[in-house]
Amino acid sequence: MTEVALDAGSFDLALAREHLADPLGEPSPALRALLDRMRDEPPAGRLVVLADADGARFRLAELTGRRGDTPIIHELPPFESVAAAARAIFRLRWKRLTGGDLTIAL
Amino acid sequence: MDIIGYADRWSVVPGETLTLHVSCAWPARYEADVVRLRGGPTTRDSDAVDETHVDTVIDGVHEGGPQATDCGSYALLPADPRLFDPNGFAIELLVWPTMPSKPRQILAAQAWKAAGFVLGLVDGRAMLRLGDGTELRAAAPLLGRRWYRLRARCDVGGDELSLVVEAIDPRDGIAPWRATTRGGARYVPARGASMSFAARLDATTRISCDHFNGKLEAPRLASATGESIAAWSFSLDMSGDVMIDSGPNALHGRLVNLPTRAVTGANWRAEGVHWRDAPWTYDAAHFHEDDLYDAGWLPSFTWTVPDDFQSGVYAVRLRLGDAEDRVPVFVRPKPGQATAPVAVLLPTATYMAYSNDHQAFDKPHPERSIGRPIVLQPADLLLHRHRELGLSLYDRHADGSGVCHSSRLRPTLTQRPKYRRWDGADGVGLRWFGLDLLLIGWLEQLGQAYDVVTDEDLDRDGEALLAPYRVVLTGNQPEYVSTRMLDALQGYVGTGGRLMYLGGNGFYWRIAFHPTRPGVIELRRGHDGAGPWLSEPGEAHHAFTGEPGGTWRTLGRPPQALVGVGFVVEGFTRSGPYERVPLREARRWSFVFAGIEGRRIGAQGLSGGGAAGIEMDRTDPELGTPSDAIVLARAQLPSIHYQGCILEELAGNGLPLCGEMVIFARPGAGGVFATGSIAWIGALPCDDFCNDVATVTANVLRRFLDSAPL
Repeated sequence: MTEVALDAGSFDLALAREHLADPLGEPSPALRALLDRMRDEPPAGRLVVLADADGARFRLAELTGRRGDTPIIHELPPFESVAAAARAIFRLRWKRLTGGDLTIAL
Repeated sequence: MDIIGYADRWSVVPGETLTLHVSCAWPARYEADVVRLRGGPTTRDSDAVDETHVDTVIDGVHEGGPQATDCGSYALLPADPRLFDPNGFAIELLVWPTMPSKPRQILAAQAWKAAGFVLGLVDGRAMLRLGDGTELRAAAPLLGRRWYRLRARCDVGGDELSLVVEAIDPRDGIAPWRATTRGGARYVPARGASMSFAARLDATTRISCDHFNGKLEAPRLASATGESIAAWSFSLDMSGDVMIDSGPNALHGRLVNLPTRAVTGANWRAEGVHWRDAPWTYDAAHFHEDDLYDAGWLPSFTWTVPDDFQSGVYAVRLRLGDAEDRVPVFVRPKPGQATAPVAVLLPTATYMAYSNDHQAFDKPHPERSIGRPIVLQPADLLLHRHRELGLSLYDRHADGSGVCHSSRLRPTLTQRPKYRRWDGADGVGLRWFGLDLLLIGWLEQLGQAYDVVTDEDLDRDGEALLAPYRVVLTGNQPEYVSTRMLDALQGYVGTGGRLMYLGGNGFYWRIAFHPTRPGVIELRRGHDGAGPWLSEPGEAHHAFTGEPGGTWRTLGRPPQALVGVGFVVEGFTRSGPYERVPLREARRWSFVFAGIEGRRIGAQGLSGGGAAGIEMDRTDPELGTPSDAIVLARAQLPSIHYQGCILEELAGNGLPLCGEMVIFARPGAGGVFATGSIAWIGALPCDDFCNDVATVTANVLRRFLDSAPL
């Protein structure tokens, strides 16, 4: 797997807007590079979405990286769509990588 | 998922009896019945499957409770007086630990309460302990993936207890470690106890525990004075489940849960890469704490399939409160009694290969390949928490080695009608069995009579299984194929049979079914192909059959030679349409697109929004695509997330990555139609089965059913 190098310019708010507008859509090459870097999470700390039994609500959770461990449910309330969960994941990863909150609204 | 179960077989004929094994989260009364499955979920928001209850004798309430799974491989010898010398013992073996840091691992045990002995590893340090508590423990831990010889001896007469650890590879520069005690120890043989290697049986539950991870070789047991009692071998009867004793007493052991055989031993020097060529270098077995062949649950109830049952896809439905499980059952016709001109060959080897995988949890970067968040289902979480339900061929064992066995004798929770898969592309998220139910739904809607048969049946019965059928349809991903299956399909097509390959990534890996044990496949991936792990050096030949493993392409029988196309590219985000291409021999093949207007086919679908996607195949004349194969349509990559498979990068012929739909005739009235896309079947149900993909599929099926030469 190729490691994607990112400079400060990769964290362009325009890319954030592109993703938040259509989080499950086809990304531009620049957004894809950013998303690939964000998605390079080891099993410990990996963000996932847990669907409930009806597939109607979705919660964020973090894997511990240990086999058999129950994922740690994130404090955010459940989402009603995968797209909404994807936006929340993007914001969390943005903060992990930049140290700052993504303040734009969408 | 408070109730789960499995049956002792997936494929049955009317009149045969199934045994169901059911586990409830607590002691409870649960309901069971049989449903016929006539289709799968066709919307993202609904779990509804097209199923109808069938009256059977199992209807009603059953008593259940939690069932324990004996997971992890080991060797077991029943108690036998010849195993014991009242004056002591001498035991010796070679060991190659793969998880030396695991706190407690049993190498050999013959113990009961204060009697007997245990030889093991404690935090990686070799340890010998007698039943009276006397213990010797090596000063330093063993290194991982290094061979050591361990020798332990207890001589009551000489009042001596000793343990010796020697590194086999001198390059490690580890000096032998020896410890001896004299006096104070009291040894009492555990006369009524069984003897085990690589684990011990818990005295209360009789479930194995304290498993060793790694290879063992050449265990030897002798009396205190050195007289041989047993000399076990792992290089004999390679496909069997017996640890053969070539010593004087023939004290054979039973291998439980399929430790990996045909693995290299301490003296392997690449003199031969096949265990048959240099068996003395393959005298080891690799044990894993998470090996599983048969979950071994107690039988819950049996069901004899009535004689008048139609061939089709059924499930035993188990319900406990709001929880439910559907255990698939495929009813095939009795031998020689085909009931329809069409057979659906359900790719159950592929179902087995992917059963209970943990890639979302363990694989590096799984989200990159799907381009969206990983969405886990309750079944995924249950499988993660209960690793004792076994692994898939896409997993690695806890010690990092690739999983090369997969069995259906356990709850296979990723092969359920409603199971939504995180890499199932945008849409209904169905893969494997769940997606194939949409093909069943299309046949039902079409009113086309069909029988169902499975890979396991094809491996057992060969071409004779398919011969009665005018047309054979595959599922969406017939990826895992044994030699007998491939021979049978080639024979079928070569003798007038007509094959509709309605999937992608088909006929890709060679697998082997076990020659005698039901319901388990072996995969040696070799050193190429689009897989999650490689075989260890020298371990690329199946133990079940002796055949070399790997992709059929590198074994010289590429899928292009059977169906015209072979796997080249994958992505798990979205799917796209095909574009028709100008046809050679247009009049001959025009039936394919009868009733279709425009050049675009499959612009909608439940598997990614199109008919072409997830994994796609293309033609390649150098790999055997017949020269008379007609490319009907071509699909470009639907997303930038698609990547060429590794074999294309390493050994491709420079052809563009795309998906291709082909058709061709075979001598003797045979024929092949191939869609080369996993997403194809997912496009069948759109607009209530009134769409261009359904039309093309029906056009081909109708023409293939017509016995006139193509």
